[in-house]
Amino acid sequence: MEKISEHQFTMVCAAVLLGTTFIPVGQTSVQVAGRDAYMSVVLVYGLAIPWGLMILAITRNHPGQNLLEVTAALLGKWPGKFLALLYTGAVGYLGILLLARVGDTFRRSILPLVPTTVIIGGMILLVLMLAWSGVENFARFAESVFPLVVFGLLFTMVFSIPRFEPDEYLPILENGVMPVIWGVAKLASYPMEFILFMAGAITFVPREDEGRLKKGLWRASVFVAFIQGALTFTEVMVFGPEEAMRLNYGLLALGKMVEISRTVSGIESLFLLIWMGAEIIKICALFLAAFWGIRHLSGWNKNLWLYLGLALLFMAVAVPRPGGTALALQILRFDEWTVLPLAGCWIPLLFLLNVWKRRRRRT
Amino acid sequence: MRSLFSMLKDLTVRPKERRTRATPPLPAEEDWSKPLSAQKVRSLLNKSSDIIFREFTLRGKEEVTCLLVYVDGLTDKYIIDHYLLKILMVDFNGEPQLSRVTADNALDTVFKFLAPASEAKKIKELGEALDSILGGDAVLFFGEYPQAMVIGVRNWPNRGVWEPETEAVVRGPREGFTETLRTNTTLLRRKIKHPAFRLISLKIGELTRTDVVVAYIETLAKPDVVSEVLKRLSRIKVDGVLESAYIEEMIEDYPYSPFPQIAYTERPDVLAADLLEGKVGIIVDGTPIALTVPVVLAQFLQVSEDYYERAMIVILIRFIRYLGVAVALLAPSIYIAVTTFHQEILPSNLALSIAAGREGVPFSALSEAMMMTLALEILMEAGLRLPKPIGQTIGIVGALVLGDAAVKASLVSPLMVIIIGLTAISGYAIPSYDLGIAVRLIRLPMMILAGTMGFFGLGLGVYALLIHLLSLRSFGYPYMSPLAPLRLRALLQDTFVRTPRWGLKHRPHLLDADTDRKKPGGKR
Repeated sequence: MEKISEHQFTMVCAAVLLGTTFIPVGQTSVQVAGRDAYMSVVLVYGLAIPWGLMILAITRNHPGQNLLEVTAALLGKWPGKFLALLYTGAVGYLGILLLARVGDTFRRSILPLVPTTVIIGGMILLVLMLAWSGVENFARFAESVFPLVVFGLLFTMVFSIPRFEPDEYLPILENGVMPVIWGVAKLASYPMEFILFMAGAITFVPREDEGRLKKGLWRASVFVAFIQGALTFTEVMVFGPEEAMRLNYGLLALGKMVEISRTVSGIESLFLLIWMGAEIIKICALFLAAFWGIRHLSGWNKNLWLYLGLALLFMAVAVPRPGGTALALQILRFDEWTVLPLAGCWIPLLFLLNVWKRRRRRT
Repeated sequence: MRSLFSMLKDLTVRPKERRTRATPPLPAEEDWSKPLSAQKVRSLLNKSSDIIFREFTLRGKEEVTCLLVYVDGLTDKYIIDHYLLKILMVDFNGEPQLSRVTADNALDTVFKFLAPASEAKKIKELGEALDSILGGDAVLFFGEYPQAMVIGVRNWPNRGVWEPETEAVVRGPREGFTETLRTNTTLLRRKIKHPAFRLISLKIGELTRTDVVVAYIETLAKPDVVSEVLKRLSRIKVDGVLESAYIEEMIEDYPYSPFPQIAYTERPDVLAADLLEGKVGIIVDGTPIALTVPVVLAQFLQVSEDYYERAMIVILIRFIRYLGVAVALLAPSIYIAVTTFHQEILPSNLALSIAAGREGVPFSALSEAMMMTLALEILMEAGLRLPKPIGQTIGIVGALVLGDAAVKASLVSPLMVIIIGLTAISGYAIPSYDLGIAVRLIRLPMMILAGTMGFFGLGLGVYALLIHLLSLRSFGYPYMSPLAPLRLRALLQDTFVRTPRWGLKHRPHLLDADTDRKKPGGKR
């Protein structure tokens, strides 16, 4: 059985939590919370902490089992199978949508003449390679690429500072606190994407020192909240709320505006190279989660044919997806109507059931 | 299809039994462990003209016919003549010790009283006798007595201890390993005078019976690594081992990876430093190249001089080396991607300047770069095998004359010549030849990816390379350590930078030989 270290757990948490949400987070949050969107963004990633702690608490008494197996143990075989089916469908389809977005992002920004099939094919090949090499290797990949992604984001933000328009910042909370709260509700599906991955990946985490795991989860959430908040703030400060709301890929627009000493300009293509790493991590996380779901449902073990079949399925469904706003809306709706309710209800339900059963056993 | 998958599996699964090669049993092998007999040795070896069989008689209580067998050229004849034959045949003739000698006690008497050799032992098996004779020792048989005596008289012409040409240093020891195993172990022993320093001998090769020594410091090396090394070595079944590379290919974890997973050195100080870090050395007779395991990628970008120079200078030099790897690997690909797909990344003036240089060039940037890279590879290969003065001429003719002519004929752009030249020079900044070759090999697919898909293709190549590197292990240890899995102290102490010597308080974390340097061998 593969195992990852506590440090790798922290890095995987941060990398999957950040995932590719830095691309739509600005637009989505500003649509609801306006110029105060950064506050919603900072708050929403805090949701990963209670949900993550619940997963740790549930699996504490079920060593070596992921949440799908725990569900089957607590709710019975068929409800367990039904939830596993939902889980597999949710993570799998989300992975497919994100894969389609990679093709769309590259085709719209820097490779207009390269067919989407080639871009998606290349991407799924990397995901397959990483997933096949195992969770331990996935954790190492996250460990080495995540700092680069963060560096790319910080770089974009720092080089955007000269374009800040201070007037865009004020007035703070011009429409009261409610837009910020609605913003949190709107974005709540982002940490839930990570929670679904964690539900499957928990078996690979060492449980000897749970304190370090909790600390790692807490640190990852705060760090990602800070980065995403700063990014949203930058988009608002540079474009203003109206323009930020309109831009599908606001971050790419920021990258286009960066120029370094008349040597390199419009470095969105360079940043895309770095963000590609984040996309690999997120899609691979969902790919692995889909595989864990299939394994739970069918009992099939890891084999290359299954991985190849899953990769082909991802690619076959992702290629004909529409791009642009239609795709962004599709992802948003799928997140809101499937990912959020699934992770939002399933894990608290299991947690409560677990607590109740334990108390009943004690009495 | 099935074979393709089994090959793919081979790439990722660590080899176990597949390293062994079925060698047909040799004619004499079946007799190898049989009881010793002078007659049998004579029948096995008498067809070789360099084997000397010297018969003589010991005149004791009984007359015992002795047979001395050795290989001409591998032994010191002076010692044999003056300190063995003269004593047995002339000096002790008529002496009381010899007067007691019978066929049954001849061996014991000679061993105890009459053979003034520090290196002598009794043997019982035929294999031992053959190994000793063919290894350069003399073996003395006493009639048909089933035991014999080995006398260490090895001496053959060998190269002196010179400075290795491939690992020259400005500051540091000048001695290098030689082709003689014992000289090499002596050089190591001179540097590590601790009882925990171990040398384990093996013989590998059905026909060559090459002596191989596994060296490690018992208190520092991980027992599982040592046993894994011995296990993998003992599994090797080949006809011959003529160089340590034979062994390297047999014991490395991923034979299809272009990256070296075992380090090698010609310098005793480098091997000693590796042993002091808890690694295991493999020294092979007949070659000055010693192997070290386990290794990490960062080790291939370090040289012994890093530890002999001041820390601040080393930080700069290491940065240059890492930059060299990046340029050697990616410079042509980035140029191709930028000029073919991403001109928007360049400010207008620079873009116009590049376009002016490419004016009149009939090839795409990818074809241009491929041609230039292949020409460079041919030049490097041609220059490598030639005598030094001719090699330099080839370099000058290739680089200056051909390059200049190609630019003037508008076959390539001047910037491309600069990029390829820079790439070649950067490649020489990589201290490890093996790593340099791997980088050269990977450069070509990177260029194709960049030429067909721009930065996206380049990203595909870089991330695929990263995934591959992260999945590699050397004797169970992650190849990309201390970067992934992250070992922060090792990373900050002695990877990209090197802290001053007084700051190197702990042994490298990457091998988990996490012991305090102040207490030799003691756990922290």
